[in-house]
Amino acid sequence: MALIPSDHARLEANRWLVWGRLLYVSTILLLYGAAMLSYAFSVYTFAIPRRGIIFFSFAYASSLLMWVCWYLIERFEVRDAINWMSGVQIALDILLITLVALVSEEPLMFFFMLIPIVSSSLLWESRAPAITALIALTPALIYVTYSETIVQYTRAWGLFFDISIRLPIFTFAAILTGVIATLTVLSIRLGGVAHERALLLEVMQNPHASPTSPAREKVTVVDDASKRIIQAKEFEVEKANERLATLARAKSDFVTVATHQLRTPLAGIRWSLDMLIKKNFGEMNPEQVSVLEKGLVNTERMIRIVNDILNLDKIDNDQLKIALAPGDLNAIIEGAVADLTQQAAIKEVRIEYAKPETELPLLPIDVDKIRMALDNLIDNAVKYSKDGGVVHVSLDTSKVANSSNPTITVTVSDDGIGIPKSDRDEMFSKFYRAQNARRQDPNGNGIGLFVVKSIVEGHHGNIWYESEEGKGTSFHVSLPAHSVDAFPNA
Amino acid sequence: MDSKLKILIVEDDEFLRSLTAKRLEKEGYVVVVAVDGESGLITAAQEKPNLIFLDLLLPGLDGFEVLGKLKANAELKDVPVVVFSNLGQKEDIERAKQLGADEFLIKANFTLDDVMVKINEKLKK
Repeated sequence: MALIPSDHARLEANRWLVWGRLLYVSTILLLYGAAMLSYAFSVYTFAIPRRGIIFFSFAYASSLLMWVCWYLIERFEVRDAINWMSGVQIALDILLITLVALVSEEPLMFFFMLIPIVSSSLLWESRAPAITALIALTPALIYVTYSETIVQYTRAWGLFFDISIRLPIFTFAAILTGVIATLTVLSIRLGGVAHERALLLEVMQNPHASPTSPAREKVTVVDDASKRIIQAKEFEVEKANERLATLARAKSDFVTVATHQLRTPLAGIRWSLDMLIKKNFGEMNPEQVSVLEKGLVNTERMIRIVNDILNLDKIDNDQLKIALAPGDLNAIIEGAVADLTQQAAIKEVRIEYAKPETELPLLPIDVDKIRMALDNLIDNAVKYSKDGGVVHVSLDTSKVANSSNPTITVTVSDDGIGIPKSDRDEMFSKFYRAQNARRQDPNGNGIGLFVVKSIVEGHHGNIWYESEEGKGTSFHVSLPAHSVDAFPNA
Repeated sequence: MDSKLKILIVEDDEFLRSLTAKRLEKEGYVVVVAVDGESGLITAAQEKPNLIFLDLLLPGLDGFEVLGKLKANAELKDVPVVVFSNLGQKEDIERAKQLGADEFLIKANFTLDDVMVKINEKLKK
């Protein structure tokens, strides 16, 4: 029969329970050893009286028998015997410590061991393992702390014979009892948790079990315990989510404020350079103009980076809203090419736009976002071109008339450094930069293509590329070209 | 004819304001300026400009409030308002458009030449 999850959990539970018991009986065996030594020393002789030998033989034999029984239960997974055996174990333990107390004329021994035995047995269904473990440890702690006083009193009653030798042995035994009893109760408790889970799983898998099944009887208890655990976990998760949301908002606010703050001085620099170049403030010699042009190109690039960062943040927050409206793709390309021509000229790179011969229909696009995407692609092409290279921008309109799936494709090609094969899987990843690109321009941010891809996908378009290292790269962006008339918001 | 057209700039940044004013004057417009929202409203009422350039982040009354009050004023409600800001979130743009802005330009994304083209188109209509 195949095991279902509840069977696994049940097996686990039983294993814990039985191992707890095995550990427990092992402890008892050790303690009887300690008690025997104590007894032997107490009478100052190794000639143990007959009744002592009988008692220890009985105690060892019965404990060993119990140990074997527990081992067999574990080995052959006899689940039904666990509860029954536990009862036998408790009865035997109480019988033995009563006997040991009588034989050694040591009533303290009785109380000393009774508490861990009873409390660990109570743990079977206990929901407060920490408190129970503390109770189990208490006698040992009391004994160690107040041993002098206890010894004085018991001596006054004529119960103790020799303190100097028995005290260290008893102290050792007390500590051992406490520690191992704690281990025992914890392992039993773990078994209890696994057991509850087994019951819960069983009920979940078989909700129509008969009302008399053991799982049904336990289900209320299990439900309560599980509910509390689940509620506590849910609370933790909720708190963690709140903290994350606060952090994300703080980051987003910071990015928004920082970028807006950056844009104002950048606009001032851009305008003043532009006006100086256009001789609004008087004539300048060609060298001055050339320096200002370079300054302007760098400022414009910086503005693009700031815009990219702002968009990156929106993409992160799923807030990159694409507002489709009828737009003239041809005009967007012309604008982008015109704006970047000056920048290209500094590198002696030409940008050539092969304008389509037929007039393009208006397309449902987000003009600002598409412009940003094209700016990024052309800027990249210029940046990674060789000096004196040519960047080609072209439009493939052959599929615009395609009735079922009309698309239009923009291609930006350069004859630059190309994309190494090893970097191809990562090209559109956030912050990723190809190795040769990093060598050529260590200051790039690796945001551009990620933003471009997000924009294109926001339009339900596609982006892909062909590249050969050292020869150049072509990026293609295809966008849906549904007629604007059919577009509801047009 | 064009030289008589008057444009109000409401802008708190001195540098941007002076550059814009300089460029507009070169284009042949009469320029009046205001450095915050309150004085922008007063100047608009006194000067009756043909077009208003409005920044959004202003000390005191912000640009949105100014825009709302301009559009609520019977005498000024037909004056075209070009919002010229560095805010550029979709919500800001939509809010400004709803309040009656004719145009929303993000400062850093345009040169003043681009802006002149837009204004000339608007005023020649």
